[in-house]
Amino acid sequence: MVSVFEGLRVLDVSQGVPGAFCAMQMGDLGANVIKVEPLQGDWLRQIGPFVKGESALFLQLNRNKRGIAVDLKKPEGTGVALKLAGVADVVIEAYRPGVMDRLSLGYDALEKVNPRLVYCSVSGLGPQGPLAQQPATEIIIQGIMGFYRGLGVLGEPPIREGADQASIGAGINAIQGIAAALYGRERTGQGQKVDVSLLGYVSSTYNLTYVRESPPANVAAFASYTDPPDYGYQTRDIPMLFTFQRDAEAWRKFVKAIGLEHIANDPRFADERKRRENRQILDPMLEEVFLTRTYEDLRKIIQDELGGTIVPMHSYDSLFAHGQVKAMDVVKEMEHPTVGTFKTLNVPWDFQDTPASLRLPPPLLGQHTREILTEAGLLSHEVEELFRKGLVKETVP
Amino acid sequence: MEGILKGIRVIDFGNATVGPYAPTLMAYLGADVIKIESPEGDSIRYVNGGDPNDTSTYGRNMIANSNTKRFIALNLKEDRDRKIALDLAAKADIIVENFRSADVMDRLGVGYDVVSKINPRIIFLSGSAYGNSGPWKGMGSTDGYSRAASGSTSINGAPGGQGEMLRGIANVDFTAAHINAAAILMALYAREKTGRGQKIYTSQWQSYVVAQTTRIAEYFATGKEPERLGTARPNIVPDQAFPTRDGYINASVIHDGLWPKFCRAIGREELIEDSRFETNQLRVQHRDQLIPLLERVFSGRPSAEWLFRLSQAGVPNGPCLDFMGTTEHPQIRANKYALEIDSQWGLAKISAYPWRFSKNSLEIPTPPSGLDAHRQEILSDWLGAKGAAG
Repeated sequence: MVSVFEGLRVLDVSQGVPGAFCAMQMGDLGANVIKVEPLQGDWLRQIGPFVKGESALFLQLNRNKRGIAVDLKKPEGTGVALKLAGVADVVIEAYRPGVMDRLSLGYDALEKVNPRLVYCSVSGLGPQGPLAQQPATEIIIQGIMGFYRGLGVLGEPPIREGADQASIGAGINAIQGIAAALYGRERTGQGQKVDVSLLGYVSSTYNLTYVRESPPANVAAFASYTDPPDYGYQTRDIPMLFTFQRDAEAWRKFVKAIGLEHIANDPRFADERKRRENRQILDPMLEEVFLTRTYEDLRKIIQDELGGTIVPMHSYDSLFAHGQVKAMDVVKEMEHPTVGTFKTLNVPWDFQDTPASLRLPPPLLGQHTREILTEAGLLSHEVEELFRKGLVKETVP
Repeated sequence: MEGILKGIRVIDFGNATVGPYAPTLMAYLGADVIKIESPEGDSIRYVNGGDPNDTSTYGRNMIANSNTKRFIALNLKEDRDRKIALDLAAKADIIVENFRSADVMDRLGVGYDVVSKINPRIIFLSGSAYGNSGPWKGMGSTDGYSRAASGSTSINGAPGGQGEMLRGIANVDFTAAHINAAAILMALYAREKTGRGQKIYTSQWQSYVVAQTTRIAEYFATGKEPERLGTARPNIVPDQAFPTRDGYINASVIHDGLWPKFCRAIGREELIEDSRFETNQLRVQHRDQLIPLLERVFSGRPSAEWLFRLSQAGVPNGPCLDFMGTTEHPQIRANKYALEIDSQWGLAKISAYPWRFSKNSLEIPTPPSGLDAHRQEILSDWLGAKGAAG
């Protein structure tokens, strides 16, 4: 065995982001993943920006999968999907509750023909509760969870966290749940249903916030509502954050090194806490100097000479030029039949014995339809019949 | 029904969130989790309450990060305590640590090389801030610093404004902990096939880079820095907050099938046929004409009415809620995404289960305890009567 999910058959019936992300990570770790799309394709394929006609988001979320396009609105089409699910180890879906049941692909139906199946459903708001039927996207979840209280100025228009972290996070919860269920299956021989959601993921990241604001909370716990935005310190190039933590001597040396000797012994700035309290006075003085220096100049002083901590508030240009990205193998390249060479983010895990591998580019719509149908046991005339009736589609590179 | 990880033993050598919260998630799944702290305690043991002079206490942060575990304190620099740690490691299935670099555990004599010799089935996760190589190897970090270094602050901001830090929500820490939990669970499954454990490296910084997958995909395709757009999204329109007569709501026309429904729900059917807005691509192109128009429409009525109309039409929508009361939201309660536990600080709200399993149960969380509170119990349970003498 060379990777975690080697030998497993995974059916990705989802559209959009979270299910695709989960299925892709399983493919990265060796699974045989089949993406089942409707004839018009995953709606994510319609979302730009486009690279030679291909959606950049679809490209980023669907490598290491083969693709089949099938008319799920017709019983013969869902029959094909059912055949594939019957021999699958894992099914991943992200439709609204009830949709998969109506397609005869719900867990209850599939469990009967495939009791070893691990079936993962990703929803917006969770499988239980009065709003379980409601669709929900990233911004909806951020709104319910009050993300905007951590950004911008109270009373002004809200701001979202730019990362689609609820969507990606739900995909991480999905792979956790699937891995746990597969582990359980090794012991019991049985599969099961796993439910995860965007809301569940985000709630999980609010842990410290919930605790701090439980009674008897203190005023500091609510600072995130009323504190001004923190833009970091602007420099001549990359904005940054820095700290000397408890090293008072390093702070004094620093202000002298940047020409601010007169505040070296100012009690208002003597330690981290006081510097934070008095930042309205201190920060403009610091920034006036910082704007004349590059990030690298300041890093040499703060980190190399004085042993403090400094980090850049990276833009994407500066992030992907930074040596840590190369050292940690964060970005890989792949070849795609129509796009050519494209960049893709590597997995966030470095397993020493069961590593990830990037083998297949994302599929064109139905790129492997014939291959997949033949593997599923259909005879050649049955395959052609499905094509003739327009129940399946293929795109050849 | 029992816990899916019943019988699995986990050692938490971690500090703060990135290390310790992954074992907490394993505890929810039914694992037996012990936390080995230094005699000074977890770096956040006394943060936000708790008294370093009274080791039976703990601050509020521990409630979030280290609930549902048992506690033992060992000084790994002392031979006797290191031996106990190795004896415990010999019985463990999973070890999690988040020191600045994986070298720390090696220098302490409890690294993967040593442990795997006595326990080849050990799954050993090192989750440092920046990873096991590169110019930032060995650098310490916090949620905020890794957040900045990951590029994510550059994509949050008001239109035309600067990139800003997210306040008050440590989601970078918890994302890293979730990445760690996923890695452990996958290695546990793999071990069923191979019979062996393995070493795994992750980093908090890279975890949050991957959280930005969609924005980074856009950057890779265009070579252009993502724009800061308030609540809007670069490539789907409309997908953002709108001002109403009494606040803000969010609406999401995530694909073209929803556009006609959206137009009818807001009483502007004529927009369906408007050639400027027929497809998402066109709406993105003509954003500057469409959004002000929609803002005027939404400003005319209260939030509750819009939420109702959009829900009737099947268009994703939701309120911009004041944070307080989130744990009371009916979806959070019904799905047990947050729970209350009793603690030295009274009832505290914590995050609970992000998953539900049809055939396995989830553990009821228990509060943290004092430093070394379960020493005898742990030594007796894991090492037998002989171990309890240690």
